[in-house]
Amino acid sequence: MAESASQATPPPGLTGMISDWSSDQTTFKGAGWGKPMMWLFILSDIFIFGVFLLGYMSARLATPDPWPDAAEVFALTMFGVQIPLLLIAIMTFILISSSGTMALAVKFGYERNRKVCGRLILATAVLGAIFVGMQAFEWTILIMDGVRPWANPWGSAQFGATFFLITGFHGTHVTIGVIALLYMYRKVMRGDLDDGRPGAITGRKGRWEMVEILGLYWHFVDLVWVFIFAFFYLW
Amino acid sequence: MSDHDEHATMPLKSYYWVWGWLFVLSVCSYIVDISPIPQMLQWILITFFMIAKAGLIMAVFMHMQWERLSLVTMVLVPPGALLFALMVFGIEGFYIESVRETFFVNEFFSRTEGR
Repeated sequence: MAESASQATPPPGLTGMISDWSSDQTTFKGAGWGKPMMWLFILSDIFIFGVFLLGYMSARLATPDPWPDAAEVFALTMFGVQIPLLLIAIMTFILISSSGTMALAVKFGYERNRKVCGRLILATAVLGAIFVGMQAFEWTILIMDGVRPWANPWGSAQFGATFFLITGFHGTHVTIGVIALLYMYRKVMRGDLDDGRPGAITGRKGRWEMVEILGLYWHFVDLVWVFIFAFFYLW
Repeated sequence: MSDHDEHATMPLKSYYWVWGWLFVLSVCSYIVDISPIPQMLQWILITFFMIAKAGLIMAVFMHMQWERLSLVTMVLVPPGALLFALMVFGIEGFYIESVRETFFVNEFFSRTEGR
């Protein structure tokens, strides 16, 4: 960070991109190394989820059996009325809200507002945990309805396999994110990021950039849900 | 940390604005899904709302609009390969479905009817 700050501001736009890549130095100017590494991880994860969704598309296109109607499968009966996709809609709003609190946590982190930042991170973790809990509830309902990775009562057998794989992999990401958020909450509240206290796992000194890097991961988890929500539940 | 100062100065209001729009777009895609309009139109609208939401999250929440073009292109260009895979798997999927219709579904029925 120190050496990039001391240099003259690199040119913006396409010229800047060419000069960045041809500079024979660090390519990602002014971004440290943690943030580009998280972006690189996200890029690899984009491919994993992308390939899962492509696999789902192939399976759904290739089967001659009718695909189960998600609006009916994921409907909940409330007060005697069947509301389609109710649980999924609530889950979507919870995850979007958690993304909002995380964005605010990053903002207050850069203002060095330790208390507000920490509380927002905790709120994000709580919302994420609620999301995972609701997903467990959804899985329970479906499993009791007789959905298995190899069969289901409504139509094409591939439905269960793609459903459990894609939502399960996403839920795992949320769970890992919640654990990381709780860990970061403790670091922020203890003042580790102000004091540069070495972390317990890697021994790297605490920096405020860590909140933004964790935020990137969390927003990515929300981003994946946007695609799953559209392709799996609405299409 | 000079490049991060502009993040901190982005007013709180614009975060709430993006947050609100994410809610609105989600509600829109839900309404489109349950309303009785042609399925093709549903799919187009749902995909449009999805891309709008993804764009808002990446540009503002993930701070991509403040990043240098070298980082933005590193993230956004390679997934273009997925669009190529989408085309290939799409064509293949339709073909496999037609083959299954011909050799499994129809043949099965014609055999059982023949007996």
